[in-house]
Amino acid sequence: MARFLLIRGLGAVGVLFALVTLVFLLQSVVPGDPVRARVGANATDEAVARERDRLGLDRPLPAQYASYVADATRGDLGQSIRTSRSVSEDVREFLPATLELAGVALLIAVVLGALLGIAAATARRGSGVVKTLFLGGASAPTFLLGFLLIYVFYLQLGWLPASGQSSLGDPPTGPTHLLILDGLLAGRPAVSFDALQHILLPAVSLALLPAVAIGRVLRSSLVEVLEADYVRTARSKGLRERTVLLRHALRNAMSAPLTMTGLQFGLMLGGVVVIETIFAWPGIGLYTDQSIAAGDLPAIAGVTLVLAAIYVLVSLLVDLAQAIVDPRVQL
Amino acid sequence: MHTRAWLVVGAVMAGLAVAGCGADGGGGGGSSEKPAKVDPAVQKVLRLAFFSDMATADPNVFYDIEGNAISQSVYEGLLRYKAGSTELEGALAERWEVSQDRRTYTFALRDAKFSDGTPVTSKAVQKSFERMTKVDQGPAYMLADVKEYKTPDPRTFVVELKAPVSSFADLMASLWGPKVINPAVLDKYRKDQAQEHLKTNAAGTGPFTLERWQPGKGYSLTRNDNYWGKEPYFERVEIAVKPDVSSQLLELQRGDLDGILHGVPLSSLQSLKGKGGLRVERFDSLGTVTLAVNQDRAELKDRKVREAIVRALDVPTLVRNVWGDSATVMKSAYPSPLLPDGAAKIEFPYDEAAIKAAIPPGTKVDVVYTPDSSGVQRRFADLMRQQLTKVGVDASPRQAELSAVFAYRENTKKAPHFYISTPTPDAATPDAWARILWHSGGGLNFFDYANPQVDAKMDEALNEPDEDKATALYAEAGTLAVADFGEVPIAQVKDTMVLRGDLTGVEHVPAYPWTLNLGALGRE
Repeated sequence: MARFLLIRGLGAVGVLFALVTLVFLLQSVVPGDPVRARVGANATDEAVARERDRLGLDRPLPAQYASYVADATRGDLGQSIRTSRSVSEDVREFLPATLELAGVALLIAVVLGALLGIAAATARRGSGVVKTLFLGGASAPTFLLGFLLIYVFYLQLGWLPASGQSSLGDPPTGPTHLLILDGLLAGRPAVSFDALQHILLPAVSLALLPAVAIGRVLRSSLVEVLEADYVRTARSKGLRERTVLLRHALRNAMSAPLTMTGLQFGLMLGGVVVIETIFAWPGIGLYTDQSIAAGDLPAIAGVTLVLAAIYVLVSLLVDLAQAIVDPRVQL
Repeated sequence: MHTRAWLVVGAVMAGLAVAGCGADGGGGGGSSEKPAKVDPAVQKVLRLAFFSDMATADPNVFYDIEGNAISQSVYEGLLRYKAGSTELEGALAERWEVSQDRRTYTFALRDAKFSDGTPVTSKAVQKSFERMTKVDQGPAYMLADVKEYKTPDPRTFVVELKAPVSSFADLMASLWGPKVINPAVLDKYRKDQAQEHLKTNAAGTGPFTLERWQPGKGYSLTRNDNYWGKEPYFERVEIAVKPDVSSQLLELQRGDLDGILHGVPLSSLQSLKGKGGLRVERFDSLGTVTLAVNQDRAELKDRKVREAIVRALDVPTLVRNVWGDSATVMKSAYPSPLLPDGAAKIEFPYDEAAIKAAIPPGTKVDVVYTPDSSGVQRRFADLMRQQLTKVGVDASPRQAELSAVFAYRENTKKAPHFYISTPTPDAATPDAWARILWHSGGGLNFFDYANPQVDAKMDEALNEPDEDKATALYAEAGTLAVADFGEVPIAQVKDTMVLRGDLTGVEHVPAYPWTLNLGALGRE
């Protein structure tokens, strides 16, 4: 286990270092003058030069690279051109909302995926409908799902809000920065309930495609496992079908869906830009969208690194989880 | 066996369809004449949205358009424009006088207070003006010609200029012009000129104060009880960050927003007519669309070719198809009414034979536009491509972020052939328009267009104390610049907003894009 963690840790460092280099090179080759755009068309050349100096953009490229890497290892991701704040500070401000959204979306995706996968694999009543849902869900673009949900549940039914993270003017601002949790910790269940209402539509929009992917993989694994000899033995012992499924088949069919869940979580983090834009969700996707529009490469690079680090961590956790649920997996 | 499941799905789909047809849906996208009723709890709350975050609230750093609604509501300068006009009136200055040589401006300050009750004095004004110069960001150029400030008494503020500046009074009314900041705040945070503090806090005299600044979420303004003018109807203004125009439109239709201040696509404007008690307002504005022409590209070096390509555009049709009623074809080199009618006149005559004869066969050009929520610039580029194809020009439209456009000047030979630019002058004065576009090194002179004659006329006009002579010089500069086909004015765009029908006191100023006077707004 220790060796596995060491190798994976070193691999992660290598991946992140390569990524730091790549994003830095991208920053230097992408044409643009975000400083001029930020300071303003009529700013004097001196003002622009001073701003470049402040941001360290007037130094030679190797010097910029060396300090970028050194700063990144200390968690300093440079300064955002658009917000004039440190990118690390911005990430701390925007990331929790994205993690909360992705977390809830993942939960929905896993539950829905499990239900869909089991229903399809066991060919129970209504499995044709389930298959149709699989196909429909897999082919619908995320933004379309988002708009459809807003149209139905906000505009027509008026059940759920269409945008934002909270309707309250004074939501708690810590300690976890996950609003649902913070509401409970602050003893204000109304905050948590309001936050839940706000998160539902974006989370469902974000969860449907991963749910379909997880469900499909689970179905394939289950179909295979349900034909195995030990399942036949369990059935012949007179165990109820439900017990056979949940106690014997499901655990042995978890490996591939777990990998898929990790993969989907990573994709989800990459895909939040669209959903956060549609639902005005104040997360890292919204931040990235605004940074791209402003040509704010330090911010884009910082977000890329943070999301990559999360992805690497999630992959590691998935591997560990696989070893826990399936003893055949050796770390 | 599966019949029951299909019936369930069918019932759900039917339910959704019925819901979709249920026009009003709680005040939603129906066709009723009146807007959805506002919850009494938000009767006195104005709810607006920005497409993106405001970068900073610091009035000496802020030099953007998104955020005007806040900047104009929490800060004031000495002068401002009258509603619906380019005529100056006093803001914090009750009246002002200009010396005969146009070098000395004397402002008589009104009895006003900052939001914390600190009185506005001439010393406070001087401190604010000096800060703008010290901070030296985009808008600081407006005070570059100041020689000195004088404060003979607490209510008199005098500005002496090094030379006459024809646009000075207008710059005092500019949206990005010098604003008066509470000296108590500047003193308290003097270490960095209060730059860190004023990024997210305000210290002005406007009808509202900035209560909360939440990046990515929104901004809250509350009524300033110390405001010297008429008390605003709204107790609070909530401005949320909502980057998607479709989502904004849905919230407006359902009654959760009071207005969308810009960026609504033409197709949506047409479909909103008479819906849910919403109204589409088109206000005169100084916003424009111009075509920046890169003379450093080999294909466009010849003035005749540039002229032929520009003349190949059927501008009236382009403008009508792209903006509908929200823009007019520019008839002058300057947006109306910066020069008197008929001055620096421009026309777009179309002579296909002459155009084809001037353009070498196989000419290829690229046309760049920057993305916007309403999609008009993309549409303009697409239609431009179609029209140029007719005269044998192969035009390729592509999108670029503004930061990339600002870098074109570094290497104009490799920059695109055309850029669809959307300049808005900082103030309602010909200099504010001409200098950024046509002067060498002008802020929005993206392809480094330069004509020494144009520069000289503009510089002469700026320092010309005689207003009529200055106007004539600006007109000459504009005529010369347009004749070079370096930056061609195309359309003057109206500020188009969609508002709830129950809003009253709607006041708009042409020189203040994307905002209304929030202090004057009310609700029926």
